[in-house]
Amino acid sequence: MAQQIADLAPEGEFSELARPKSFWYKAFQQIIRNNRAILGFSVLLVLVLAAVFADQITPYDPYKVNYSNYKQPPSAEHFIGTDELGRDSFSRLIYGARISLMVGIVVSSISVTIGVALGAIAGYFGGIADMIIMRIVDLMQAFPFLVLAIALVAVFGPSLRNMMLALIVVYWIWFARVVRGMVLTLRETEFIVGAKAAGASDIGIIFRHILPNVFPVVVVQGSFSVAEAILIAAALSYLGLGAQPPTAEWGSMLSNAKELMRILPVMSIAPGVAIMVTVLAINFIGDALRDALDPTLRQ
Amino acid sequence: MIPLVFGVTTVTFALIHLIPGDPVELMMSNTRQMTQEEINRIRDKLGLNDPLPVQYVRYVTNLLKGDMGISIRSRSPVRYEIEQRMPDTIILTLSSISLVLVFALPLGIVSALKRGTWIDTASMTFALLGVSIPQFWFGIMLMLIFGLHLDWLPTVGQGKTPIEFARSLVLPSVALSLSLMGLVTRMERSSILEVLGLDYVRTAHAKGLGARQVNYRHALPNAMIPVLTVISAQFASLLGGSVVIEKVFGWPGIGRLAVDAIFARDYLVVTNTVLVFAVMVVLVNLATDILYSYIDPRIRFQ
Repeated sequence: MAQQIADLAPEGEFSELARPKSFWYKAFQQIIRNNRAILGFSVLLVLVLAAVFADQITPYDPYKVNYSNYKQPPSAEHFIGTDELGRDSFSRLIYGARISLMVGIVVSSISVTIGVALGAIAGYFGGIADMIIMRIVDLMQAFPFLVLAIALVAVFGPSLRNMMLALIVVYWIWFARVVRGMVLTLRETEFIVGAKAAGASDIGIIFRHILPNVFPVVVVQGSFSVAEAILIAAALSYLGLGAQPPTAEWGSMLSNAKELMRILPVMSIAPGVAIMVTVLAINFIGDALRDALDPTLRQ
Repeated sequence: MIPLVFGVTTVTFALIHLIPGDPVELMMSNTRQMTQEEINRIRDKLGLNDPLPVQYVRYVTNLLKGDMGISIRSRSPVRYEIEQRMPDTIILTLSSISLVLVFALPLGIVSALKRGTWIDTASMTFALLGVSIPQFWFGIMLMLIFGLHLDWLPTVGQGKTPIEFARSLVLPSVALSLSLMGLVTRMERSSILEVLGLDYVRTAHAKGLGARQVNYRHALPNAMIPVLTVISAQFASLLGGSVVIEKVFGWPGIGRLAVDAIFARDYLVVTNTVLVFAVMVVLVNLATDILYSYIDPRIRFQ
């Protein structure tokens, strides 16, 4: 339809300047003018590069045990010292970026996919599908998020993979709720009713008309959820329910460091700073995306 | 309310049955090896061979009677274990909420009224840090600074005398309140800014009231409702956070009980703690709904 109308417009009528800028183009323009977003993207880029090239840039093997050189204070050879097994803390810190970023991205992207799919089905079709999905959502919301994740890890058994699984099980709910709410209002709008009247199929309407309208909000919420997943995964690993030793992970490094707090406080400080910097960078990006994509949420 | 409690018990019941391994073997794992026949006899006695719906009904009736089963770790009733530690979790949570009310509210109000000044910038930075710093790490930093370095406050455990108790409560409550502080500061600021733009506030200015009168008598009460919403909506995550904070500070609440129980494979303690947490959340949400109608009479008439 839209294509046909565009074809009717005489060629050259809209000059390059006069053509209205697309939504995404304007959003992009706004984001690159946001200093905090640029800072966030730069920091995140550094972290991603560090995670990807950890093998090349770390000065030492993060798993190499060296009893003759344990519990060393920070020095020129070991920037933030060595741990109780003589492993280089700085190398472990860099490898930790791998796990945290991986958990954050995998958990949120899978939960976003599940949440958006189920939210769209519930909102668009209503009826029994809606009832079942929303009952599950209501039910799981009665539990504190972290407590339910902990209980699921207890059932599955503590490991990095099971923790991610548990987080996904409790995480999709948030997106399902948001998307369902939006789809409920979208469903009644004239352009959807029009598309239906024109004979478009339900699947076609969902993919062509509903999801593109939901997308900006999902991108914004998704970026915040990466940050939150990183925080929660670190907390669970700290409790011993996530990444298991000897994996170099920020949360479990912090729990290791507890014994050495008096003599090596730097081991308790560095991994937390790493988590904070990562989460701040992602939150800066999330704020910028929200301002650019979802003006109704702007504070 | 009732369907929710029904649903919540269904989830915990499902959790119990999803746990891998035979409950009888788990329970008896410390004693001698048993024959299959003996295991079957115990299963019969405990009703584990009954159909699931029958087991579910028995599970709920037992819960209603206050019977949560026996902890395999301590051999004492789970209900007793939870009752013993429940007050500590409630005290920790309440003291965090009070900290939020005492510090975050004024901060939000000031930054809204002094919008654009350094106070506003500082408190918004604080709010952003509040949601970006890992809570448990903040707790560790507090320990490091105020416990080990300055030696002002105890870092681990719970004091026995009232004064020692209060001193040991300080660091865990501050750590637990961190993210809620950030959220409430931000929320209070934006809701005051919103209310200040409304017609009735302009009317109040127009009829000659002073700025103080308008801000505190007219604007503030209406800006409180969203804050109540945030605190009640975040109550669940506060409880979740208390699990980690209790573990960091060795605070003997039900969160630490649950985590320790996971590693001891003491599953009845785990599932019942989860149930207690959920019931607390449901009750707090109910209480907030009732509170709303007192604060805002419009809600009563809807």
